[in-house]
Amino acid sequence: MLGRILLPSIFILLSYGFWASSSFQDISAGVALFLFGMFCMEQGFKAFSGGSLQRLLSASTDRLWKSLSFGIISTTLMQSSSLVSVLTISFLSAQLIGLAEGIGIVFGANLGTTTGAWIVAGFGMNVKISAYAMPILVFGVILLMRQSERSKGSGWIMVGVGFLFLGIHFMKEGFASYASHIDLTQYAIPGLTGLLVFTLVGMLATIVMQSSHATMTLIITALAASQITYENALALAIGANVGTTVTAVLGSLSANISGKRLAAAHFIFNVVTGVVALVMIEPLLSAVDAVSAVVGIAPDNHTLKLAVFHTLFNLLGILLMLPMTGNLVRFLEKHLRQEVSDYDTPRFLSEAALEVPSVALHAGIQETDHLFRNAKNLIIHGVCLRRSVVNSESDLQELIDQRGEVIPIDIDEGYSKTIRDIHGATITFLSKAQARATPEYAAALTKLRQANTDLVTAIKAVKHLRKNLVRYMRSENLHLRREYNRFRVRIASVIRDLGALNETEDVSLRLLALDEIKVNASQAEQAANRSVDKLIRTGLISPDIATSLINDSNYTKTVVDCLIEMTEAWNKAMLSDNKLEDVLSLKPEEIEAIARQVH
Amino acid sequence: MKRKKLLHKLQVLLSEDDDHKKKDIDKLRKVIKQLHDKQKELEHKLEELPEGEEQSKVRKHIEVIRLQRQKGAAVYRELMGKDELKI
Repeated sequence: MLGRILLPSIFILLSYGFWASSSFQDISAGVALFLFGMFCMEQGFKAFSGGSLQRLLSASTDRLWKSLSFGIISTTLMQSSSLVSVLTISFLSAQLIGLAEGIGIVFGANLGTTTGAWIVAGFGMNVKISAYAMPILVFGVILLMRQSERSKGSGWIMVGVGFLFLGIHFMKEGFASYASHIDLTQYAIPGLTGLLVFTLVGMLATIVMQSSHATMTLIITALAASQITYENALALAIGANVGTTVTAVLGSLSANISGKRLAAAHFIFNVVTGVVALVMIEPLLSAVDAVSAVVGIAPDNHTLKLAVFHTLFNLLGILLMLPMTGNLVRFLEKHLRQEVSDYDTPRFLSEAALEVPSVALHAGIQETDHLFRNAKNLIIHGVCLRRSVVNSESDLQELIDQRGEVIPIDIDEGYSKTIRDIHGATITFLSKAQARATPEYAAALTKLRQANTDLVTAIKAVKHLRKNLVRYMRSENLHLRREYNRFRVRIASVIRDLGALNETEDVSLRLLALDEIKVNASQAEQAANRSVDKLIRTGLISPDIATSLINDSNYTKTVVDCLIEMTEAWNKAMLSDNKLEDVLSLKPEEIEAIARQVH
Repeated sequence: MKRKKLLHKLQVLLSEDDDHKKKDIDKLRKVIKQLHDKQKELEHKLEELPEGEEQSKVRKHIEVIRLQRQKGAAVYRELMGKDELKI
């Protein structure tokens, strides 16, 4: 309802403003171009945020100071703390980094973003910035037309920088022409009231524009044109710093618990920093004057002094909050907890992870593994086995003659509690990721979808198999009992073998090792078929039971095949290119031939 | 001749295909080596095993690796052969 009223109201207000003042039109166009430039730059940097960023991240976030430095440097380079925050939330959601490292990055990003004010105040206000914008735009568009994703990424970044410069130019022009007609400083509010009112204005402006960088640029251009007082500009800068957290908090609503914790940390940091800056405004101003004098900034150069202030109060916030990071992590983990439920839910998926294809793929791989673990437990119990037996090194063949012990389990209930929600969410997530992904990730995401489908098919086959299995694995008829116990052993063996694959770190070797598991599975299947044929031929089982046995043998084959195919697809999803593994792997007829060999 | 070689080197440097091929060759070499080591390990294990089901299983495992290595060697020869023709 609010949205329906708000948007038309904004349009009407802006239209009136455009009609009433050409300067207002210039400033608004400047802000719009600046925001569009930020959007283009974010698009461009996302093209580079694949595997290399992931590697860089894992190497540079193992210590808090490294995370902090990573946040400072990445935000300085990308000039967007929002993008760094979004990337951090996505990495955290996919558990590529821990909460403490994430907090370090966000703290660093707050300091890194202050370099934007330095660039605008030091460079943007002193040169004819539009002269640089045009060539950059032309070069950027040429790069955008190229096929390579990296060239396109560079093109988006250059176009973004061009629009940023153009935006700054229009804002400068707008405020300059305002200055010749009207003096906006007549609305300045001095003292504490002014500090609080303009902090609020800065917050609101940032919430509306969803970018503290844009607000800061607007403040600096207005200050350079003497349309706001230095004192009010400081308050606006504090407000912009607090307002920017609203974007992060809104973004975290769709994130998982890790994302929510990080957004909360961001919010706490910026609010604490804002309050400290307001309370310590006088000592901070003295510090600004002292630093300015040291670095050679003229006492009347308010735009650069604003940049100094922006950096100083964020630095103060970091100095205050950094020693408390451990406590903050504990506080957030204590108060923001995953809801406890009988129904298992996804652990690695989030909207944030979808922002970066490589992170989305990583999250999909992790979640499929989570689903596999749950499915494995359900399958093991479904065929009346204990996990301790399957995971041990005991001889499974010993189970064949024994009377099986029924493990009471409702497969449908187990499916609802441990599979359904995760499977549904993973398929939805993978579909969304496929829609956004670049071609290099498409095949891997398709493989993950297949892996998820295989798991569900395996569970459904177990459900059918269990109907007769719980009865005949305890049968008085030794022959029949043996056959059903063989089904259990075939499934347990393949689960055990697939589990042992994890000992091999190299994905290529894991994929090739699957051939041996396929040979064993094929050999077991051939033996089971021969045995069933013999039982039918010799009349040791009735025709009715023979039919059930053949059907259940097929269900067993489905379970075994699906588990192997799932593992194959899951491992292939980890490789950017699996042509080599496909060439080296054995063909089905080769596997059958080896399985048939008698040594 | 020197110019030809230089041009080829430049071509290799600039060609994405050749870059991919080099990566493929390196990866293939590594995988074949690891398979070879695994086969040796299994052959040692086989010598110590008494006749029976476990021995048969290990033999089959060796056969799987032998076939994979055979395929790998064929691909390796093909990749290297093309490279030599270009030079």
